[in-house]
Amino acid sequence: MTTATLEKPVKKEPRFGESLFTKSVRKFRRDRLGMASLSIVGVYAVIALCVKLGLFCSLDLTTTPVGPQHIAPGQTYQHILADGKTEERVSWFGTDIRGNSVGRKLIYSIKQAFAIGIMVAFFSVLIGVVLGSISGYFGGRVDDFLLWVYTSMSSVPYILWIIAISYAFGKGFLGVIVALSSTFWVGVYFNIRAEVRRLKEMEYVLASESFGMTRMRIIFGDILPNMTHLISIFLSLNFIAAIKNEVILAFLGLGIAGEPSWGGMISSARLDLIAGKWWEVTGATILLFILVMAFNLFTDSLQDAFDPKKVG
Amino acid sequence: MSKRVLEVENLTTEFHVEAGIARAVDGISFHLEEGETLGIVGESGSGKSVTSLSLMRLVPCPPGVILPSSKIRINGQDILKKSAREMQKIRGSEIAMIFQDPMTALNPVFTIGSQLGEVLKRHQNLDNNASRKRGIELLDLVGIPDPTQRIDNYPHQLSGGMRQRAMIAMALSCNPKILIADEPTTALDVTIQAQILELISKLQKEIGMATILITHDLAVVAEVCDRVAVMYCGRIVEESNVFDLFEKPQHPYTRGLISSIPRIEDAGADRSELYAIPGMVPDIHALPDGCRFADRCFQVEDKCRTEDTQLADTGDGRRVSCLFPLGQGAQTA
Repeated sequence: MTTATLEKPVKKEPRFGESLFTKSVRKFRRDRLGMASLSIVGVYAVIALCVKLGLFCSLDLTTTPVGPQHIAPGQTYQHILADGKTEERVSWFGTDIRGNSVGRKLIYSIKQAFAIGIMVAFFSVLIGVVLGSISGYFGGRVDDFLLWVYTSMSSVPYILWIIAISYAFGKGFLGVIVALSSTFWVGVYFNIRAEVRRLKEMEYVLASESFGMTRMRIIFGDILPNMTHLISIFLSLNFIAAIKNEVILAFLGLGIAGEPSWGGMISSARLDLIAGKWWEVTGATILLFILVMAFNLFTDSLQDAFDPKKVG
Repeated sequence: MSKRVLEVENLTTEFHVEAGIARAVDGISFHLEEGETLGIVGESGSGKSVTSLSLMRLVPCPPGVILPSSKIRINGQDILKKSAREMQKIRGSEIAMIFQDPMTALNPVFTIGSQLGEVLKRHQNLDNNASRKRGIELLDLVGIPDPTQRIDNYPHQLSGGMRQRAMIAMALSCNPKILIADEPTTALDVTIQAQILELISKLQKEIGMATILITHDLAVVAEVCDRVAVMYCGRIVEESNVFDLFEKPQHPYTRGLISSIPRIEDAGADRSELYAIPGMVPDIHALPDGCRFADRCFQVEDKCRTEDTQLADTGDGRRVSCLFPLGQGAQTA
């Protein structure tokens, strides 16, 4: 502080009306690891968006062979141009068994991963939050019934459930989304239910009731906003879990057919690795690992920054 | 005689729990006149809070049940016969409540203004601008400085006293006829307590609403109440105007309560030990046959242990539930 301000103290404007959200954002921005992981996730997200918008690596480009099969990364090959002539090029990421560029497939798969992650996170959290809130707030028979559904769902080994759903909806995007959403909501449901049971005993809920608020207003207007941290954490946890599970589904042959995805690329490792073709599986694994790692760190920081009990 | 805004007849609230049926409030009757302040005092577990929740029909159900023989009339309408939807309209507009702990009674994730606004929008159909304007007026009314800025504050940015003021503003926002204050000052320190009590009685005079003040603090009762009902084990044991109650308590329990107030004259004197009523409140699942206070009463007789007591008029609008009410001229022990 300079002497000038000491002599004539400047009254600092108190932060009137700073919401918990802006506070949390401020707290998050001070978290370096969180910011670093967020920027990694951000880069992935931008790529995913560009692919989605068709700026590069469109599906037909990705599934068009660029040259002979199984070129190792860094090797030169004769690239076939549109007019039939050939040109010598270096394949930085190699090609797969069909001669498709592994690099393009890796990039295109980012879009796939984000599409699956976002959809599954959204639907599973939506179902979990709505059912969990109703179950936790009303209790009684509604709660008994939903809890029964929950226990039935969670007692089935989830991989069997996913396989069953995937077969029912066909191999493809929809099947994966439905299969994963319908298994992932249970964790959200149970945690939200417990939190609602705790929060509904709070005096401000009673106060809201005493001011004549309706039950739906209380659940979604008073209780739900107090769980935003839980909801955001489940969104990001389920996002990651969906991406990882897509790999498992693909490995079992239930992934998205006809379009490249990391899961598909890794599942091809069964045949490739024996033949010493390591690049496709390695590339997919590294990209998957970096995204999952960054997203997990991001979730941790998010949890620290957004828990209303920790925001002072 | 002024208009009765609230009449309670034979109110019985039970909790059906595993240990059996706990009758937290057992057939109490009282009334409240326009503009009057009724104090309800009693120890912890005497049924004060359950009474207030019953008046709002907010007893958690299950396990709580208000027996159908009970009657609660607000301005002549029996609210126990109202549907849940009608009840939601009554709450907040006819009868409002302020709570013990202002720290937990405000939602931490919303500004004071938005919480006030919700109540105004619900009951008075105001739009955003009008409710904000009215909100600022209300905060000004309850003595919050700088209301135009404070309205955008979150509860954690206000002190305990401020929060209780904000809570009072919310309760008053729709001009209720009846205000229930459930230990409004218990969580606050003494200087703030006095301010809040002063505020409640000032607003009450201005707005002309009737107030039920629930407390375990007799000093608070002496300060602000017109009439007092003393509760013990789910029953009203004595009801009287505030002066007579402190001057000439008729129930031994009331007398014990008054005696256990520490007094500055006694400090350092030979009677330096504070009086306490002996014994414990009986278990609500195993109430004695006779008078519920018999085991702790200093003038208990055999008859007290076998014969149940009834609240009976003793003149001057006083009622007492004792077979041997303390006579005239009885000194506070």
